[in-house]
Amino acid sequence: MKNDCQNITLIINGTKKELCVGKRDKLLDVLRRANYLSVKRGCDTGDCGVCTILLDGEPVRSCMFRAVEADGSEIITVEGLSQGDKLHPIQEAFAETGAVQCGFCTPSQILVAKALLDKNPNPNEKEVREALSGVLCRCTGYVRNTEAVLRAAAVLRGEEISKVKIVRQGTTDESAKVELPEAYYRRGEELTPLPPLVFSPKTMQATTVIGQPELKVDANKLVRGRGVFTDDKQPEEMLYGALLTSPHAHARIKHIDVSRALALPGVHTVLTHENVSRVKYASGGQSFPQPPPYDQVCLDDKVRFVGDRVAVVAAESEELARKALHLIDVEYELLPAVLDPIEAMQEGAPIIHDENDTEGIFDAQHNIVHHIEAQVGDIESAFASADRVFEGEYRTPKQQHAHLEPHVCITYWDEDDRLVIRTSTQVPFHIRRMVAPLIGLPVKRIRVIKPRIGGGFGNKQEMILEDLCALLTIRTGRPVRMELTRKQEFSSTRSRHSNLVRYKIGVKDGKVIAADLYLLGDTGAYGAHGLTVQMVGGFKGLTLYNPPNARFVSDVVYTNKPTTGAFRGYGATQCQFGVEVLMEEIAEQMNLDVVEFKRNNWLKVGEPMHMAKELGEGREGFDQALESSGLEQCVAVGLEAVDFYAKREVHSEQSGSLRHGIGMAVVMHGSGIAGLDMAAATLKMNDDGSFNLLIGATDLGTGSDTILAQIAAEVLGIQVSDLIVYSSDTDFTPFDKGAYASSTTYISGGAVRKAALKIKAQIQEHAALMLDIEQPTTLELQDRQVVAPDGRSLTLEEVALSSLHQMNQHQIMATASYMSYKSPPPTAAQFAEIVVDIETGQIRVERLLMVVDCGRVINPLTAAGQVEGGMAQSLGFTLTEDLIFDKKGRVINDRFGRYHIFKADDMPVMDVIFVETDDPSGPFGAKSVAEIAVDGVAPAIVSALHDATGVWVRELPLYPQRVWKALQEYDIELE
Amino acid sequence: MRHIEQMEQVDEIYIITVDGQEILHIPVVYSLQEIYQTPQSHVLLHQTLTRFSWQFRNETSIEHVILSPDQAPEWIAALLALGAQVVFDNQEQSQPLDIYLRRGAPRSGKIWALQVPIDNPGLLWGDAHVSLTPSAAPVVSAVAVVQYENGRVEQARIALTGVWRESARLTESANSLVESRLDAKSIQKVAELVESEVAPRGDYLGNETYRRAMSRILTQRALESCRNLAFQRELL
Repeated sequence: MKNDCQNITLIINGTKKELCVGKRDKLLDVLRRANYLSVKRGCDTGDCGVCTILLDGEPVRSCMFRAVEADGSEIITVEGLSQGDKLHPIQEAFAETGAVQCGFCTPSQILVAKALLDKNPNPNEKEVREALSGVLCRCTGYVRNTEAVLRAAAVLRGEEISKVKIVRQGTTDESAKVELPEAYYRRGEELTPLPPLVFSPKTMQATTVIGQPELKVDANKLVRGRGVFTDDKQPEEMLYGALLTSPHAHARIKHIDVSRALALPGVHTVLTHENVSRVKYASGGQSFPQPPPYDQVCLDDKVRFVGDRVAVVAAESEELARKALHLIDVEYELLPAVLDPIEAMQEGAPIIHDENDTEGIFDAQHNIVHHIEAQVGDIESAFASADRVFEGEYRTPKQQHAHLEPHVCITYWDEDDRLVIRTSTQVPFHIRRMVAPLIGLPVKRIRVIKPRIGGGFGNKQEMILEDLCALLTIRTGRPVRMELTRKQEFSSTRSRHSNLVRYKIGVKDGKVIAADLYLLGDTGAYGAHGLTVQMVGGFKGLTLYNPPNARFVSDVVYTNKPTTGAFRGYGATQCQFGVEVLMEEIAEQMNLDVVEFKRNNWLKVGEPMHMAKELGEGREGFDQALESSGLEQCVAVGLEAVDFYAKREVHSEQSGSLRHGIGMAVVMHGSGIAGLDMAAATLKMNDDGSFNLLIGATDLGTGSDTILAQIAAEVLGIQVSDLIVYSSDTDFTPFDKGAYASSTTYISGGAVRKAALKIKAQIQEHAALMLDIEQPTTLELQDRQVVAPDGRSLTLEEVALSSLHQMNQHQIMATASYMSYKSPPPTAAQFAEIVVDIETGQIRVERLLMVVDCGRVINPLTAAGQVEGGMAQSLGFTLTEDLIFDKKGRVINDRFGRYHIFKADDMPVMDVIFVETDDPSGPFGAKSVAEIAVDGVAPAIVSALHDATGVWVRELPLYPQRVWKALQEYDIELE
Repeated sequence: MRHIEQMEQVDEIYIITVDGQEILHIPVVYSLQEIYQTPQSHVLLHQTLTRFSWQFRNETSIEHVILSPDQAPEWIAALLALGAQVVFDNQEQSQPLDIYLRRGAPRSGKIWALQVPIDNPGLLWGDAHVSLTPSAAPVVSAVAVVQYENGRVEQARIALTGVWRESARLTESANSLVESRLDAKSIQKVAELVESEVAPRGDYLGNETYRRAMSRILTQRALESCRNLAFQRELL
């Protein structure tokens, strides 16, 4: 026994454990050290709940307990639920229903469900949501999780349960009446989660694996809580890195003294700007060459926001590393700071980037990092000829990603003196390329491994830790782990751009003939994704209604606030909020039916997207036309399902303090970056007829590993279980740009399909030899067999064994790459029903329905999960989430709770309906689904608020106070 | 000195009768979850704990919340409105919670138990709040408890959160209800008094003006709930 620890006894999952723990050790740390890796660290402050365990049968958060307090207790973690290969019914239900996305919160949710069902075998939906509310989930909308618990309860009660199904209906041409199953009208009080409903055109080619609600390929290990995340595998002799951040919004480091920190026994190194090479870079993980400016260095002699990097320490323990940070003496020369982007552009404002080695800033003197102008048609003439011209100004919040797994990275030298970076990233290949010059190693000496990721949403499309962690390993020769605290996540990583969105729209004969969009983007202290986010915003925001005369002007401005970056939606969310609300305002002012007005104007199949060439992503784009769209049917289905017009009629006659409102919005997005994104995939056949699918694509919880496997399985006539999927390891998988821009299904899926087709051809060729058939292409692959026209067949195993060992020996394998000059837009109609309290301004959202055209739905369960999760995030964007700063530039709400993300018992009813289209360029007709899900909620809720009250609120989030103030100004009457 | 007439044991939680009123006596080492699950707990206590996660309720003792009232301000407000008392570890002396929570108030030792009235036919209650979402911490909340006897308010307590640094009982405003009927006019008058009595500090969720306005509206709603309950119980 060590002197500084005491023995405690715990019964963990039925096994008695004697553990030696420090007096202050948290139970969370003790359990993780003891290899109970299902217990996760999300915040360390008791706010997120992902460290929940059952202590004597009761759910508690292990980060809130000292281990010594648990002495003698019985603990259950998720590792204790399954019996050998047999999952517990709750684990099974979570896997089957699609309740697992990234899986980081899953073990805790499962445990809470167990505690609930142990006490109450027949809970109702409300009780389930209340129980789950102590565990935050940022990926799902808690719909499938709730369904999973109810399903498990039924199983545990001994009821017979049918397989998880989706509801599929044949469509419908545009004129046909919608045939909607009764449940989707939600006429009663029933809140039970509904399965996703899929409308499929009868003309679509039949598939066997695609379109099925296949279990996620990683579901089993995630519901078991296996150690699959970055921090779950720690090399021996590992050191702990810790980051010192700036307490000042703008300052020059006059002097930094690390001697006291270095003198602390166990501290191995301290890195500062004085001992790290000054190599300029941009942190956004984008394709080569990354858009300028390269305005960052690993460690600078100037800090530009509270939370900016100052120094980094490596020590023998986390505690020592943190202690060492306090011993670094930094003398700052304080500089005036500017937090507001409009003020930042004024003459005489503090210059945030006054260094002389950053190139590519548009106007450093006025903190304007980018000024973008793009135009098509003759905008001024069009406005002059318009019947009416309308203007509107909208503001959107600085939303934080709030993924439950913090940024975490572990670096080490392998046996060949190559540096391994195991990191929670969305862009492993970009990280390898970007980090190389910063750490002075060639790309070939770096391997980046992406394990499972506990959510990212764009925040892990950045190089946040990898360079520093790698530098510490290079300096010390030891493995190093770095993980950000939750406070650092809020103040030192990235967030959504807060935007000022100003539209001017000209209407003639009911048609939008001109649109002028000014977009002011606050990029914070560094450029990162500033250029590309605004360009995407401009493109999507001007293409939804696609006027032939359009102009986009944008200023991207530095401020002394944390840097903004990629966030699901990527500018489109902000701009479509603006344009959708203005279209509503126009319809009201012109006394037009808003749906008809939008329908008359939205982009239709065959039309060229006028701004596509002008506004690429950080560069010139490519001409594109819309080749598929189900928007017409999406709107029709949605209007029917929510009984839109009837409700609006009823709402026009309301009185009292609680007012009901219903709103709608239409949105579009893209599928990858046209002409830039590229992905590759490798398939290799094994002796037993199974296949390795090696993909660089990065599954960050979205289910992309699964849908890519479904694509391969469909081509090869096999099941998903016949594929061993390995993704995102720069040594062993081919290149993929990474998980962003809604590109994975379309781009990576395209690569997988191509590789699978190559494999299919090889199998046909070899089987033709075996069967002595002249035309290999006459052979069909189905049910793990190759079938000849004459009825003879071979199993894939026979083909594999023959090709590897017997005849014309060779490895059946193929690699294929895919890129596209198209980015087919998914489209969707979003509906929201709310109740607003006109005396307090509080909005309660009662129902969200999104009807989505994402092309062919590869996996309805994972796709629905994307839509539900996107809507949940967008609820935060609309109602609760904004980083708030004090006058000194410090984030006030830098922890969960103060920064309120939606919990299980906050959620409205959420339904998802898909209207499939068959996109000609997508794999099996598929388009993207991940990002469009966040685009429509805000305008739909603002539309509903107007329906309820007559008031337009043009700034998000819709805090009760903000709504109340608008209602006061409008002077709404109670009676 | 309060007169304890009867004591009935309910597990380790006791029901005592003091001056004819039934009171729940709970050792403060009990967790919030235990009080949440106790059927005899006043519904206000249950309701104001629903916002907190099961985990928090399990981990947090009553004592912890009383010593750190900002951990669960609306629950503290409910206790204040219900007229909860703390009993000290000598088990002889007790003190109203609102006095105990005042800064610099004399304290007779470590707190040992909490005593909260159990519902009775004349005990009317109501609460109202405004928050970002159903489960978010209230920006402002109001809890009102009225003892209504013989067509008149015998006793009234109103407590609010979000209008001072801590949860606070508004004695002056509440006292103005005593001896009056619980009608729309008297409720409005009290709500207006509350609005003038509070001293909110603004933040991003609510500036001073908003919080002050909410104190009036939410007090009015809480008292209207009391009145509705009186109607239901045929007291009006």
